[in-house]
Amino acid sequence: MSRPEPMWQEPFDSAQGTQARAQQQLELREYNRAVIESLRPASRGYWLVVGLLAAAIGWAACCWGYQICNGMGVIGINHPIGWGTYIVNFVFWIGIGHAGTLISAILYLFRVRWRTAIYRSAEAMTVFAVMTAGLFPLIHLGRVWVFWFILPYPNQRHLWPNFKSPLVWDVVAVTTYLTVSIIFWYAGMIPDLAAVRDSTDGRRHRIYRWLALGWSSEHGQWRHYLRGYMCLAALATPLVISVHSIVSWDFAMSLLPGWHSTIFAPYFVAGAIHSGLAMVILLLIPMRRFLRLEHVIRISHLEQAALLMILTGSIVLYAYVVEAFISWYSGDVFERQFSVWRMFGAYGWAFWLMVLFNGIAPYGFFFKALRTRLAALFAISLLVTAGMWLERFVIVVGSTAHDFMPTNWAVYRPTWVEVSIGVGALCWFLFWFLLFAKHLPAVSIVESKEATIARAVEAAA
Amino acid sequence: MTSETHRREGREAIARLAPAWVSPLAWLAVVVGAIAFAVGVRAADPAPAWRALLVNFLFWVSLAQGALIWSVIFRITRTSWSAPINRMGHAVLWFLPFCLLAFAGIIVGRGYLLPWLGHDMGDRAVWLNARGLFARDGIGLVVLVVLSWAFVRGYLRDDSLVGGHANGDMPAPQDDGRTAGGHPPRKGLGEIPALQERERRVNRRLSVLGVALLFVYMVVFSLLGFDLVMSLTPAWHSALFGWYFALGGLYLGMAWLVIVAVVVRKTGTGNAFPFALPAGSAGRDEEEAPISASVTEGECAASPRPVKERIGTTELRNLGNLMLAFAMLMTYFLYSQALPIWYENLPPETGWVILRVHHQPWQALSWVLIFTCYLGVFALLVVREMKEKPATLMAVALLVLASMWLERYMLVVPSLAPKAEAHSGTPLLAVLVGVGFLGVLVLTTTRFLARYPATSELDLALRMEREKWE
Amino acid sequence: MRHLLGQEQAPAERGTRVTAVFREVEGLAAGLREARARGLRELAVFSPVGLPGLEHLLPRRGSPIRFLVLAAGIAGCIVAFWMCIGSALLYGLIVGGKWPGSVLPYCVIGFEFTVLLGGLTAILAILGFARLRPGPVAEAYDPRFGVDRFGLSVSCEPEQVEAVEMMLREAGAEEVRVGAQRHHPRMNADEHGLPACGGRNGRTEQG
Repeated sequence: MSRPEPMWQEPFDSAQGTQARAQQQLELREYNRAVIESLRPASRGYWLVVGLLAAAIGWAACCWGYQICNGMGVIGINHPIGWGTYIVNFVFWIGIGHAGTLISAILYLFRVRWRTAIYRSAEAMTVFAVMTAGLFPLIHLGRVWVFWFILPYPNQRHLWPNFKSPLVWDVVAVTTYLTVSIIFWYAGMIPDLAAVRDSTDGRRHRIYRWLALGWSSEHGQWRHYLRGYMCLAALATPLVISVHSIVSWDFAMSLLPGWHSTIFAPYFVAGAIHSGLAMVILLLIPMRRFLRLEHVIRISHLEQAALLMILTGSIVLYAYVVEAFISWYSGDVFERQFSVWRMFGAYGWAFWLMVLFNGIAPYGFFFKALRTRLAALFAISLLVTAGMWLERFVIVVGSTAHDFMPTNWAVYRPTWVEVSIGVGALCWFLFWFLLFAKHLPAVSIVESKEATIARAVEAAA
Repeated sequence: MTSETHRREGREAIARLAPAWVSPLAWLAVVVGAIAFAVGVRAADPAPAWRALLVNFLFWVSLAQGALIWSVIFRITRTSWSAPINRMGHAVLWFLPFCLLAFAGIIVGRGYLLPWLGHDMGDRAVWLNARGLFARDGIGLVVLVVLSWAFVRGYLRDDSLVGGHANGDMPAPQDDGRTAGGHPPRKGLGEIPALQERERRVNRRLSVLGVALLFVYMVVFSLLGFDLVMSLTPAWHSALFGWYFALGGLYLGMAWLVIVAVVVRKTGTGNAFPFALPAGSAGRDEEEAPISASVTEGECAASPRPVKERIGTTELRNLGNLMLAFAMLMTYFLYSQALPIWYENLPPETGWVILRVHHQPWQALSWVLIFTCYLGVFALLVVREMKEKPATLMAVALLVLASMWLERYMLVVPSLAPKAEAHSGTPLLAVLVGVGFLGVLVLTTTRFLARYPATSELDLALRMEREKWE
Repeated sequence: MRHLLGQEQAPAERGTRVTAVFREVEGLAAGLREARARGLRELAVFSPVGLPGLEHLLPRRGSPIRFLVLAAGIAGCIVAFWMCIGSALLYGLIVGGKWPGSVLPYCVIGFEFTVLLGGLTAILAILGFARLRPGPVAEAYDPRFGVDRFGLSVSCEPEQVEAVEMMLREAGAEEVRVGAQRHHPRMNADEHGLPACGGRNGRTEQG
């Protein structure tokens, strides 16, 4: 059987009284109750917010249309800065998704207990973040109707993409990541969708019944399901490392000062998890309140995510220091001048904010008072999210703005089109997340019960 | 007790921990290593001996510090399954000062080891100068050793004062409630508030020390990687190299912990020195009943558990999974450096790689490395059965140690002696000096494990608390 | 098992289905042991979570999914390298003095295709082996099995029904029903939409 044995070895104390047992039963029902309550028809306020988000998405789509009709001149990228906020947003959103896969897949393999209440929302965040990120290469392409040129398939033109190109690696990696994330997310939901199916009627019942695929909680289904789910977790785990490494190699494979560095892969992965954990906290704090899941998604769960952010923030800070050191150590005049400009030039403000928000702010979580207060959790996570966006900006725009030759130096300013599309992408992400929170089980009913039942099984076996 | 009795009991404790031939063989290894090194430095060309010292210093200090850092990581993350393993990480503590001695040796032999000495390094001379290099690395190592000592002492002091005893297990209480050693009866977590408060304070101190240790480890070992390996080819640089070097230490440390855990498990006993053995526990064997009493408020486990159960399939599999994770991480870090360097094809960067990948004898060794410590260990540990059987897991751990030693060799020696004829004599000397280091490590580890309880009270308390409340 | 999953009706000569609802997993385990001791083999077990700890008592164990995923992953890796090296050799362009087909960058594509094909195979295998498809649930299924109850459904000869029912009650079943039950999702549901707990203690008619 694929399921790992529990970490404890002493048998469950079967001398517990009936009252304790009844308490245990109440707890199991409570998970179903809490999640089903959260799926009750939404209020008017909810639909108003969804409507506003949809309007913002519509505005962004119009801006995209405007760009297609009028050409890429309506945005700020131009020689020498060929990559602007579209690529910044692409890298940013891909990074956001990584924490979800970390929590749902990697921590599943490590049997970490505190993930059970938050991993479903985190994995949903991953799916929607990757969907958001996937928009940007298309938008950035300009002539979006030729995007299929990069897909590898046998065609009558005898054309294949260049598999040595990091851009082709991106296509393969992001497609794989989106596919496997959706599969993993959906597979994890099947038993919970069945529980929701059993508690609804009418049209909602028919929809959930279709989604639950006839799940009957029968052993024959469980054994295949658990084995397959373990395989999916094992496959999703290397994706956390590989996808953002591949995105980082878009830059590291070049020879621009500030881009060509061997540290980019693990540095980007750590930064991705950093931003993703911050986004998880930002999403869960309002979600648990509005869906009345405070007793299921507890502050202790958020606290664990905050503690992880200390580690990822430290890695990111380490990378900042080492990059600066190696650029000096290399003796390369181009690297050195770029490092100095990055700290004190046109975007120096962004650099220092990035160091402060990403590297220093998370150390506030060393103090228990800060990591157990919702306001502090929210504030620091917001700073980290902003800091990580700034980091992508500094990396992407900085190197292109100040490379080898002074005639190639410029300053990039995004236009209203880019800002609108960027904000619209954020609204697109929130739109899907809101729909998920109110229509699909946001907390894993099954995994929340597993620990309790596993102990009883140990005793019974 | 007289000192003679202490010494006898100490010998007996070590004898119970490891077979009788281990200590003499370890001493022999130390002597062989010392003689080989002494002969080497007095030879016409002392460079091979100094290279051997550098390679072995880098390997063994990584291994030892890495093993201790694992105990730190387990403590910070409040890992309960690692309770029987943590002490094995502490056991390298007495080996660390020997590493400082080896570092002092490197300072002496620096003329043969640092190719940029005596050359004009331009504005990089502010970093690449012998005084600065050895000062920062030396201070870093000393700080690391001091913090490690403080961390382990935090554990040991708590063990000895709280009434801990030989195996870290609870002795069967005697009729008058006292333990066999005459210590006051052990109270449960709920009964003595002062004890709870003490444990909380100790836990907090250890957590703070642990976090500091982790930070200092990353900084110091990155520095070691940059200064003592990367700078051997002064024109070459890789931003990831320091991190890669530090990660290697964790990889080695985990393999060492696996070996020690399997050996301790096989010998089947814990230690009994300096506290008196609980009554009736001398020569205990595996047939002894496991803990039967549940952990209720105010009570602790009534009888000790045999070692085979404490280090069972779960612990071995977890150790194996960690080793697998680090094999994958090391491969990933290697690839993350190789790919950009290959892709951009810049001569200052590619030279380092080309020497090791396209010129003999390094080319053959590179292939060996790829299929051993990187992909080989990965392929072996992906199979679940390899992790669950002690013998196979230990075999893989030995493979990790041997191949990572070769890896450290490949990092250092080609930079110092690129041509085959220039490095003749180095392999044999490196192996002999390495044997000497191994002897010192075995001696210090066995003596440490024989002296202190096999499982710390704090780790046991954490494990029992987890099992009670979760 | 297929009739339990609603794919075929149980013919009358195959026996009568007796389904017990247990409040605690100990009862389920006891019932399983008794059923196996009596040689009853057509067992179906229902639970709100997977029960790997009771694997040794359950009728079928293990799953071939792991091997299928491994095979698919290896196939994906091979396909990726074949595609990359093949297309490079098709053009035959020498860049940077290197052989057109370069293993180092193709490792990325190989890795991703391994994961992609492995993931697709995993979900298809789950759907296939667990027979998941839009449709009705198992006949013996009770909605409470998705909340906090455990179920054991055994098939026996009609003359054995009473004995089996008594055996299951002695094992700790809080409810035993004989025959198939039409599945009503909100039958006796409480205000939160959850199926009621411990409502009926007697037999129910086939409905």
